Amino acid sequence: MWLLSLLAVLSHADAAGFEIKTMRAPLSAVEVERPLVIGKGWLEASLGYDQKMADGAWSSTGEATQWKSAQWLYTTERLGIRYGISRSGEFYWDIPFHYVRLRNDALGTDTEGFGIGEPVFGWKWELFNRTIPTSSVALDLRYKMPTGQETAGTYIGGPNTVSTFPMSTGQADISAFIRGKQQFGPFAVEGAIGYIDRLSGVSQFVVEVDQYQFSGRFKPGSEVRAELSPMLQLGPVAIHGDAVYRRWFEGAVGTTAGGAFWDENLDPIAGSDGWSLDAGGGVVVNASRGVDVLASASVPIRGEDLTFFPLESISPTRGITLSTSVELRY
Amino acid sequence: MWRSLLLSAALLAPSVAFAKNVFEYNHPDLDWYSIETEHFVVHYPQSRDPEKNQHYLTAKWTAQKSAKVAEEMYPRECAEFNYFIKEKVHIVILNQGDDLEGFTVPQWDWIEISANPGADFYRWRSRMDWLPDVLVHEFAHVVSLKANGSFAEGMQGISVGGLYTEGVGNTMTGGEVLIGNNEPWYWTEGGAEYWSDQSGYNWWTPARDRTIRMSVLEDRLLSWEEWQTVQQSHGWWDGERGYQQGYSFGLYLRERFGSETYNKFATQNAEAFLFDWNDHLEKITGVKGPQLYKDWRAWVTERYTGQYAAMKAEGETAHRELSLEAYDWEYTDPDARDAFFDPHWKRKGVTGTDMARREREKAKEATGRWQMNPKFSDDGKWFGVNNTGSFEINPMTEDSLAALSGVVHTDAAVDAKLARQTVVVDSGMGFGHDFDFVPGQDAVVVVGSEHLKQDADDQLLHARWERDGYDWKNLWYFPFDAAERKEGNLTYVGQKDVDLLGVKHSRWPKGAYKIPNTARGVDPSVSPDGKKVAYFEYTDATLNLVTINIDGSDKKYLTSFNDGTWMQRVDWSPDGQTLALSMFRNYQEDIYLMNADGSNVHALMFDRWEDNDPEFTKNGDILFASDRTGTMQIHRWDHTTGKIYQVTNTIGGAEAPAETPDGNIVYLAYHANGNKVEGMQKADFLEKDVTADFGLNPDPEAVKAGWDFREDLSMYKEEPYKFPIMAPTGVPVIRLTNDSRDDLTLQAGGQIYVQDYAEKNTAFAYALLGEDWVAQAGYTYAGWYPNLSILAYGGEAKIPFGYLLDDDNDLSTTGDQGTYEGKNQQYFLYGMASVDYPWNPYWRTSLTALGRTFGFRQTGDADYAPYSVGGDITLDENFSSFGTTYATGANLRGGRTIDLNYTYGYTDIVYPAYGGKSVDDGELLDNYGYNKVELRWVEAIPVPAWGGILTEANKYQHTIQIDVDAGFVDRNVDRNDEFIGGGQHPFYWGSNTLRPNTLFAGYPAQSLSGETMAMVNLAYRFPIRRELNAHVGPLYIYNITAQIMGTAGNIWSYTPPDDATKFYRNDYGERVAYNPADVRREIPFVDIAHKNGNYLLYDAGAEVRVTSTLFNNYGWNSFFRVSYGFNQIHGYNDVNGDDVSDTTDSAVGDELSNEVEAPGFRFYVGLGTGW
Repeated sequence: MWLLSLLAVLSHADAAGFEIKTMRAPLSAVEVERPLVIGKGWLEASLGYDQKMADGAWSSTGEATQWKSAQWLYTTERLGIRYGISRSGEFYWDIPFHYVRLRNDALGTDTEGFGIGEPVFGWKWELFNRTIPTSSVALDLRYKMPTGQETAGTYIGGPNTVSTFPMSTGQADISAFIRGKQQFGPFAVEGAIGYIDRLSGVSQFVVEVDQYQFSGRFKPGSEVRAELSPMLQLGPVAIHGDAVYRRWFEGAVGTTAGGAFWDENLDPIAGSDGWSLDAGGGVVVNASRGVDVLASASVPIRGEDLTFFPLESISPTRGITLSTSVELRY
Repeated sequence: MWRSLLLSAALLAPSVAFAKNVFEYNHPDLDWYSIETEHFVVHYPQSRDPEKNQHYLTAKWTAQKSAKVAEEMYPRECAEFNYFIKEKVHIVILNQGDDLEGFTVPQWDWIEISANPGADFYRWRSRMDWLPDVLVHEFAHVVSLKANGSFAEGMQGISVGGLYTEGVGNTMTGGEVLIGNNEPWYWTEGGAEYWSDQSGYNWWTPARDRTIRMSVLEDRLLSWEEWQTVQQSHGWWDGERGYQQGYSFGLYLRERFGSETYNKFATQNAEAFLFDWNDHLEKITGVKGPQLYKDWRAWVTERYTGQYAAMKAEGETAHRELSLEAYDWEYTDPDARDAFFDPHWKRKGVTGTDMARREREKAKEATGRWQMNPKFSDDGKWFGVNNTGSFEINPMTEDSLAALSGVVHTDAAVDAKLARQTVVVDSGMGFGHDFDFVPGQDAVVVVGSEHLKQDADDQLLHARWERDGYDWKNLWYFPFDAAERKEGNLTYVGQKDVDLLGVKHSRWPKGAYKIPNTARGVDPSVSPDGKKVAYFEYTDATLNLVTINIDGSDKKYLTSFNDGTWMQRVDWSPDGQTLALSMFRNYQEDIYLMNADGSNVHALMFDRWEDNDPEFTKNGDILFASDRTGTMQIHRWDHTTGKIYQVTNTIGGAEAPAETPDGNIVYLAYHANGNKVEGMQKADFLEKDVTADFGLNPDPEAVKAGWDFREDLSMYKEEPYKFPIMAPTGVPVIRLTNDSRDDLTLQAGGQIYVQDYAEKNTAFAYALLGEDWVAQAGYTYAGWYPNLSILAYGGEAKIPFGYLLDDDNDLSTTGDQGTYEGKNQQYFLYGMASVDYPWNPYWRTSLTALGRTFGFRQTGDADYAPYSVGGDITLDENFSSFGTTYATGANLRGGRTIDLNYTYGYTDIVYPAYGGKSVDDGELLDNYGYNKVELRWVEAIPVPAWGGILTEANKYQHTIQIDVDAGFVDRNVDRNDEFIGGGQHPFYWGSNTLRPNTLFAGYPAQSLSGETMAMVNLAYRFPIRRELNAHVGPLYIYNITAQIMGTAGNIWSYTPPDDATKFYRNDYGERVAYNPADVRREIPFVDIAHKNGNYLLYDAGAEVRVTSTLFNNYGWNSFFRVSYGFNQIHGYNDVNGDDVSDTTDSAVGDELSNEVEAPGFRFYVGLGTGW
């Protein structure tokens, strides 16, 4: 009700304050020329949708396995905000929501869920910048928050009886990436390499099997990630290819230790390390300096040790991901 | 003035309290209009119903003139920084009040200025060109601060903070830092003065020169550290001193390094943020900041000591302060006075050199800081002065004043008697205004608030019970209550102030009345026959001359300007036929004469000097002040010869002259430590003929042309105000918090705020994401009398926990024990609506309706289950004599804050796992209504000066604080509806939002609860360093305060039955009474509070408070508190704070845990949190 009242009042208002500010940094209208940091005073809001339909995984030997009767739909509805806080700095927030659905015709189950996922707060700091042609090197620090719900519902009876899907691992990640972009006329290459340190946390879906009402501490395997993305700008349209390599280490599980080192009691989960390589491409339509429309696809090329788990961030299934989003900037 | 209008962190609390940036009252009788130009939009108010509205106002002319000035200044100011602002700047003209206002918030492209410059702007700047002066200054802020900003304008800073709690070690540490632009005050305000000079609108006027000159000669310049932050204010005039020191510094740098030096600091800072902004000085000039300050100081010292030497050589006139006391110094010679003070105070051994200086300054200020407009009654019986807005009338003759008689009183009894005879007319509004005696009567006509009232006990009340939001000035007639009174051994005339609830009152004189038809009237002068009053009436940036009978009849306008004409001091000639006044018009300030009926207007002079303060002498000459010499000095126009003589020649200047019955003069004198009143014997008059320097006998046609000129502003057309919204601004918020020892998490989010320029609509939203998240959004409508607000607030939290399970319920056998951990996920959701109205600056009422629900999701739950739903309606009365300083004052004293609220609440327990019911104190609760009353009274009492050590303690501002919190709920309620007690953690909802929170700091947060509360905390507070005034890194520390305190009291609840026949145990092992009547209410002070196991609880503690500013602009107050709880307490669940609930012999729910919290110390640290 209050929101309606607010809108009723504001509907008479003059949006004077949304004028373009003098202090705003210049920003190219085309993707290929844009640096990695959005620039002082720019606010970008994006709405995106990702859809992954998986029907298999990668085995421990790196072979593609096909599920017999299960289909896993994992969608992400993304709200993104970027704000150029200074000439070289940018804060960004990514807030994902997920709609997921697991169907198993053989078992006759069809379970779905929706909720907030794991938001990311990040800070990019441009270490080097040059224009015409654009050269940009930036440090990207990010923090993943375990906001989403963690329970799998009633667990008694095994994983096939879960009544809901966790949307969060129950623990936080801290990541550091170095990103670089170099423009060559209409071409540009963007790359990144980084490390994701996965902290441990008490997770509700890690259920002890004594009382079946308490939880354990879980630490997914930390990860090294490399990304490469060549781009070609043709007028207002940029075409890009993408390759993402991920290598993660063993996870661990156990109970919380006292004192300052909470992980001391965790036991490694043997064989939980693995890797994956995805490739894809997409298109960016620079409708204007303030509006971009993006579409892309990602295909799993190779992988290892990726059995099904309903949290794609730590255990991606094998499936094609289609993405689209719109970015609004002012 | 620039305001760092950071969003009040209080907005982040789940409260709908709202404070506007300018007027607290909404003035719904006003319509708003807007005038749009190429680069600006000017908004102004106008009353809706001119015929019926007793407070009719408009600011149309001011708005039109502002539009013109703004466009003219735009290219010049922007060119200073090559920063041509694309966004429109909105100028809001205020005319609802009678006082000066001017500030800007650059990020919001918002300039606010009052059409009314108040009482004494011309004395600040020795020039009355208010509108360009303030407008250019404020726009210079907009341009310079935008050009200077390292951070994007949409962001008002980055809030980084958090809280770390540790249950076993009993510590709670909270902190908050706001990282944002950190330019120093001297550059911000001095720069605005400097750039308005650079652009040709202002110049180094005699008043500016006087401020710095006297600060140099009287050793009062702000130090390098002191001028960094506006919040340093510790002495009289430091605000204006800082402005002008910064301006002077800019002029010095211009001379040494070039005119763009000040500008380059901004452009340099925009390139790269430095934690110490002053490092830019070295980057630009090659010289470090402190050295530049020393160089500037040497520059001004050389200049002004040379000027003073030249004046002395010319012949400095002799004069003394008008005081009954005999001081060891004379104001004739500031050098000598300072020479006296330095060794004097150092000998007294006050702690250290810096403190000695402060004590010395206070001694200088003690003789008067805002003493204005001295004068004697015509019969010589009374002497009066406007002292900081109170008109003080003394029955003293010239003989009693050494300045006029040359005889210094040494009889202490006489001095004391004279001091007691002061009649104080506390007008509440007359600050800086003139007044006049009524010839032939023991009476004065003064400027006072329209709200002055006489109460039943004959007290003069200035307590507002505000209904329409206006508090305009009026003329008042006050006869002296000259009857002798006796008090002890003294017989005196008049009545001293009475202090009632922290508000000063004076005796209401019999026969006093508000002169009808004089709304917005100022500076009265009574005719020689005592029947008429000449005064100035304010409207729309303009004053007009009016005469009226002293009873309010026969009002006549002698002028009819509507173009910013300003007038100052009118006086009647001895024969009552002529009026003399000073008038600023068409960029000139001269003295005009006219017949008493307004005819025969002619200028006494027409020249480039600022000539003001005309006052007739008994023989028809006119005394007046003029800046002809570059300093403001008193002159005399001889009506017989037409010549002008300089009367005074003092280094601080002399203004507002009045002749005494014996032919001497009294006047206002500026000193670095106050505007003081001085006297000069006629034998000491300089009497230098300076006629040739004045433009006497001006061409009547030129004068008439100036008088008749009306500037055409009709091209600036208004249109109805369309509620333009300011640029939304936000603060990214980053929080590192832990819910328990093993749950340290980061939250990130932000807040965003938006309002329209006239502050009719305000909205904000706030969200923090993390493992726990909260979000709230609110809207306030301020277009009707009270503020109407709505707010929604919700979130989720994940609470890690530990459980100790013991199969045989025997802790001595450990083999069967197991410790488990888990997470409990909770949600909460509130919706609120409130009506809030301030009756006066101290008292406000609010009515709030709240709906609420919360619930849980356990490890095995697929969905949330709501625990309860309900709602409250609360009526709250809040009185605080401390006003807005309540939250920030480290050592508030001499006042109180009282909060009394009544709540009717309704709760329905719906938790499915408990069958839709809960058990509290043995009673099964389903749904219920309840009444709840709470009184919180904090009284801060100065230690009484009863002699000996108490007098010393009073002198050093020691304070006794009594903090009482009492409450009552009329039935047994669920724990969530009970009163909650225990130490509060030091990070509530941002800086300075904490309140005195020492009540039972010796016990864990939320460890006490119940339906009957009675707690009292007694604290003794004292400054450790009252004025440290030192920089420590990015901090500027003002003072350090300590207090010791102790609390006694308890929170009582209901006791479940012990008789096994009267209760049963439910599935969770909780006792449930068969008959609710067997659940017995605990009697305070008689029964043990079964929830904590004590009759009474006690604690004692100590606290240190540090008042400081971070990065020059952000208040950053911190504390360390340690408190010892003397009692062992029981409770529920994890009582001992180790994050593991011992459930070995008790139920999960309402039954007390095995655990206890032992007596011990608790520690609280708040860094930048307030206290």
